[in-house]
Amino acid sequence: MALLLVASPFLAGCLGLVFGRWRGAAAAVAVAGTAIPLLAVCWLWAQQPWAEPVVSSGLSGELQPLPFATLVDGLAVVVATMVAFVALLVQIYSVTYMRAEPRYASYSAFVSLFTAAMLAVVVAGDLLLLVVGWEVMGLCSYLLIGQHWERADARGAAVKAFLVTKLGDVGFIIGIVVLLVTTGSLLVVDVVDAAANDATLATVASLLLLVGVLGKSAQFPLHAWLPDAMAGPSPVSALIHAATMVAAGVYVIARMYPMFLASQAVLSVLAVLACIGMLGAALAAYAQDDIKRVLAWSTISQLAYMFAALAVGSRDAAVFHMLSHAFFKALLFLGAGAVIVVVGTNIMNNMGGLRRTMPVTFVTMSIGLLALVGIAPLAGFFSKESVLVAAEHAAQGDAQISAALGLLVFVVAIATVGVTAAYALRLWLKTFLGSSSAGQVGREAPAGLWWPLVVLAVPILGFGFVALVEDWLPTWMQANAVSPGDPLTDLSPSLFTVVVSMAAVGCGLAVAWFAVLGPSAESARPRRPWRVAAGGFGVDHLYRVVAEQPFRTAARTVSFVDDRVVIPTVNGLGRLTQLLGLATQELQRGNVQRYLSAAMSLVVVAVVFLLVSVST
Amino acid sequence: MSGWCGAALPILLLLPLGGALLLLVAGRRVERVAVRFGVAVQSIGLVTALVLLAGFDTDRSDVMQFRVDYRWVPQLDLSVSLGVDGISLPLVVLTSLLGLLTMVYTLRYPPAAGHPRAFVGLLLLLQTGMLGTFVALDLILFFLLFEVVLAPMWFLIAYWGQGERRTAANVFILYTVLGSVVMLMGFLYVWSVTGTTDMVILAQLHGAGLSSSAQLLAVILIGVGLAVKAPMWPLHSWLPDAHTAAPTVGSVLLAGVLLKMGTYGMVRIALPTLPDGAITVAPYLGALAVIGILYGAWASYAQTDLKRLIAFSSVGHMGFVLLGIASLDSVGVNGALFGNIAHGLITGLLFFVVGGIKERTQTTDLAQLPRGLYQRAPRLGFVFGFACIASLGLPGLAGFWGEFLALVGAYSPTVSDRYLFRALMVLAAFGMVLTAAYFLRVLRRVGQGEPDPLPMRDLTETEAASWMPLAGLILVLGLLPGLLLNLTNPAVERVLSDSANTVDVRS
Repeated sequence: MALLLVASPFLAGCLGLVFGRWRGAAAAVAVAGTAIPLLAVCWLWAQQPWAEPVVSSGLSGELQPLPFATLVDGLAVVVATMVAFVALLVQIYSVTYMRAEPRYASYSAFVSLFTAAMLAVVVAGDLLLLVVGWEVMGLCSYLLIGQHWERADARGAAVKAFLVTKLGDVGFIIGIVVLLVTTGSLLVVDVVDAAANDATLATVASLLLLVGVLGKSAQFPLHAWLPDAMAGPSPVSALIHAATMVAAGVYVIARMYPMFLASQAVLSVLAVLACIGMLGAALAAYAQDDIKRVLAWSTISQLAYMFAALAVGSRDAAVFHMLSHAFFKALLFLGAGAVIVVVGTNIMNNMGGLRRTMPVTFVTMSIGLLALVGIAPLAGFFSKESVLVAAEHAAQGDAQISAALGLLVFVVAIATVGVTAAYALRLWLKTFLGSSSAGQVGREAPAGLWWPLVVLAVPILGFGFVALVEDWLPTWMQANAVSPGDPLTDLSPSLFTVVVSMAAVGCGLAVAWFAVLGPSAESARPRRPWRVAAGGFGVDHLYRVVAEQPFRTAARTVSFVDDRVVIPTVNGLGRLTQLLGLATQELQRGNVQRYLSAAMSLVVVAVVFLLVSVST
Repeated sequence: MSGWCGAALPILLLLPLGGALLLLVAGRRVERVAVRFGVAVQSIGLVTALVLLAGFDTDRSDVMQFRVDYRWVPQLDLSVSLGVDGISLPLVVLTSLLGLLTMVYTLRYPPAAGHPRAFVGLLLLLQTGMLGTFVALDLILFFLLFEVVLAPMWFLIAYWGQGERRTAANVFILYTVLGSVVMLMGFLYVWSVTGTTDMVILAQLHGAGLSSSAQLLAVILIGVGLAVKAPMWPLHSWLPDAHTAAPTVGSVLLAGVLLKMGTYGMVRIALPTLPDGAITVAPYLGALAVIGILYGAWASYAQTDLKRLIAFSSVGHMGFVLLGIASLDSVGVNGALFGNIAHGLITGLLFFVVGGIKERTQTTDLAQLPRGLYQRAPRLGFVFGFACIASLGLPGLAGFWGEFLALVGAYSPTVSDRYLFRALMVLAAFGMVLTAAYFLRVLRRVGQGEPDPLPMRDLTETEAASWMPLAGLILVLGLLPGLLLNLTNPAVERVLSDSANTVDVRS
């Protein structure tokens, strides 16, 4: 059954690529290919409790990765449900959204392949299947970001996304090699067990894997590809850059969590990077003018929350926030896509007043934004509170990392809540309130675009309440867990965090309201700090100096050396060939038939030469 | 063994040789049917290779099977000794497959310089040499067949090539002949010390009777000859010119088979025969391999010609193969053999596709190639993109596993310089990113961009027929790497094991 999850979208992708000529068939195959995993997951839910947690392969040695082993436990099923649900909605949405796209068949096939790769990561029971899914996802991301490759920005963004994540994958692959060689096993279960009991191995391997995770999940300092990746179509942003691919990094840590818990150093690194990511990305989000770039930076910031939760020792809070974020961020990206289709621009200053003309989009996106800010009783509220509660515990010294670091995480998380409220309100005001020419003459997006938004709003409204049922979600996730021992985390909010975070929300809303609608702000040029934030704090420039320029210089140098040193040396030797040339001149005058016989005679000569030289 | 078993290998070798002779004798009147004749011969050859594969006892893939022992020149103790095991069998099948596919391709795209009879005859002669190299079990025979390959390839480049073809052909032959002479000296030295040229016996001896210094001398002599072919940095400089000048089928066979003869020779001869010498030179080989990986990637990035770029990418890819061999670890050597096959499939496909692009645009200059191949010829563009993605080492396609296992081998080398090899492994892993960088640059230049409005012929049926088997195998081996590894692993274990636990090999 687990293999069906991966195989059906994979086959749908292959079919789409081969028989892409018929658009309707391509759409049907794509939707069916992503619907089957959802049905399979439902079936898995119905089969609870699962008799066999690990569907192991006949893996008898490190050299026989055949077939790949899968691992289906509560965590995998919970996350697979989210992935299949969002992917299906994205496929359905794409049928309408991409209706004018000449390359729809390959597009939908790549979305299917992408879904297959993500599900492969989710159900991976051995490290090799994990690596395959992990990297194929990177490739599909490259292909989908570059969907409109006639545009230079899409080409550049696609290459950037691939190379930055691939750079992270250097660490990931080395980490896999270290785990494989040191533990002598490929099975995730064995590897994690072994590493959890070996502090050195845990630290080294976790750090190496973390490098890959930072790339995939777009965390500082490997985050810079994500904002540019908005050059891809909006449904791609919803699928890849909000709900699934970036979540893969979080999932891998959650999957191998005992190993990460065994290393305080790695958790501390994670905590610091999460702090930078949360606040830095939220500030950058506030400075953007492009609606999709706001959401992109917001994604980086929200993922940093999940990493913060992992750093303070609460896997369950991290996964909880990952699920609710997947729902509301997918909704926001799809909603932004609907807005862009109608208005014809990404720039928020050219929008405004869309609440009247696009009521469904307005209401659903408002729900999504409220969830992003964390307003009760939406899913985002509960999941963010669970992270804050975990951070608060860490600040009191109840976690692996030091209490001071825990306090830092808590303070930064609260501050980020405020900034999040500010940029969410700014987006809402600029897009839906006020007035603009688009807001006057516009119309609601086609039904094929808005009803997936309504469907996504349902879990946002309802899903959060699972936190109130004590231990319900953690129990689910630990069902058939392979490495028990993690204490169940209470995900319900505490009064203290609710009060503090709501105060932060109030401050953030007030600032944004004043900044957007106040007398001075609207027309004024952004001040320098905001320009820096809008540019992502100069990290792109850093890449150019540290990575790109040395690479180009090296390439030029090597090419120069090869032309000026190696080739002349060869040419010197080439003089010798002139001697040979004298001998071949005779041949050149003859016809080809004689060359053939000459070839034969050359062999004969070699044989004779050999026999003579050997016998003397 | 039953009768046909003994006949399989001689048929495999004599069939193309006989075909070549027949074409030579038949004269001009068969000029028209020469290519069809070549397809027939190579088809029978591939069927024979598949029969070999089917009849191969995979449970005993470490043992030489289909043995042939014919005392050729008894006075000199020279014998025709043939056989296949799990190391050589995949290469034999790959060679037979590429031999047929190049011939099918020639059916539709006859040699530009004409004379199809000579062209086909040379390809068939080349086939005998290539197959023979992989099944020879005698050092002298190995050398002879290794040399047989050179002459036809020289003619293919010099007469059917393009650009600076004569110079490129001369550099190619000069380099490899010089390398081969050094290699022959090594073989003769081994013979003079041990008194045998039988590779199976030499492997069984596993260095017994050869002092460490003798092994070192022999491994350097033999290694240099094989390294030229591989090619190992800095002995690679014949390769870009040869590839750029060679006709499409020449490039395919050069990359797909000829380069493998070098690395195959290392695993077949140097590792089992000269184990102590191999341990001594392994760190140097590993370092040169990694220099080759990085150098090849950077050089590729700076190239302006597509064929030259792919040629340099071969330097990088074969660097991974050499790194796997240098690790002397069974995982690493398995990775090297896997990388051999994967590189043959992928780079063979790449040269096919680039040849197809050149047929249409008359250029391989990146600056002049029209943009937007994805749009202008979607199927051709898809195959090109697929080949590039496979070549940059995407997990799930064949190219990845060889590189990954080479890294695993380098992390746990069977030599003392563990830290050196770990540093090399990290550098090699960065080489994977650099490889991605230049292939993405190519796709951006050729596949993407504002499409040229001029129409372009999409994938033809002949192209599909001669390319799809390669693409299919790249996918199959990428998803099921165990298919190949299960074949090579027992044989690799034997190559690396010492004589103490080697049982009767001549079964």
